[in-house]
Amino acid sequence: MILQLPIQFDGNERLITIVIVLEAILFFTLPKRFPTPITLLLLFFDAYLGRTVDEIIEFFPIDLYDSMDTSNYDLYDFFMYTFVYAYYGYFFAYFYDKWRLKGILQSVHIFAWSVSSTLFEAVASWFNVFRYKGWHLMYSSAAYLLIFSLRILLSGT
Amino acid sequence: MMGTEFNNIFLYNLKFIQMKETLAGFWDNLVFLVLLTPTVVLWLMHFYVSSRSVASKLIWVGFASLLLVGIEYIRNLFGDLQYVHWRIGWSILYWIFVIVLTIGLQKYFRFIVYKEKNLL
Repeated sequence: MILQLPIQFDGNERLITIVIVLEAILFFTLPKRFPTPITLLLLFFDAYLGRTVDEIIEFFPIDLYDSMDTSNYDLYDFFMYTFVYAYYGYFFAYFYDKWRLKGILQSVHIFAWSVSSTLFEAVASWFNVFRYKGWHLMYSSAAYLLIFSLRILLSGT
Repeated sequence: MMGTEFNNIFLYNLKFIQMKETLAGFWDNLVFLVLLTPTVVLWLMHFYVSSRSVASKLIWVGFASLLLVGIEYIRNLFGDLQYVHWRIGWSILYWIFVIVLTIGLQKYFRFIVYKEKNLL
């Protein structure tokens, strides 16, 4: 199968579907902040980043976790990388730009997004979106701190 | 991103190609995905946009496709990739498709950049 279909449409697929719908509603209702090319770049960047990082740590030799129903590439893995990660990264950039944060507030913003991402991942792993095989939620929180900090650093703001 | 999708679909799901499960194979895959593929595509975009004639644009498309397929062929030659139900010709088709898609996206991207610039 090109993209593995869910073995059973249960908690993890329902959670991802609900999150995609909510994110899409938020994405289309928020006032336009960036020019369309920048919006597209932000969406593509996060879809790419999620795919590449998961490709590295989800398969041999690192193989720290599985996502969705199988250890292969599921249809819902595709949805998750293409929509959930892309919208989430866009919202991070959106609010960072909107509030024009400087100094300590930048750190607060990064910390708040890292905490919320870790909490979301905790909920997702509870719904079996992620099945850890040597990974721990604490590693994710450190990874989120690093990723969000690097994003701000690389955006040059 | 298309390199990752290639691996996810043809290697991990369909198992048309097998990747050697060694550390060397892992690094080889990582360098190909994260470094070589984006670099070749960026190179192509640079030369494609700066080329004036259609012939030179086609030459660059052909060269970039050959380079990507060539890298894959070398990986196969060194045993890091093993074709199970796959032929090199399909890789040529796949990479040409990726490059044409990238050029299409680049044209669309430039179109919306100019459109928004004119609106300002």
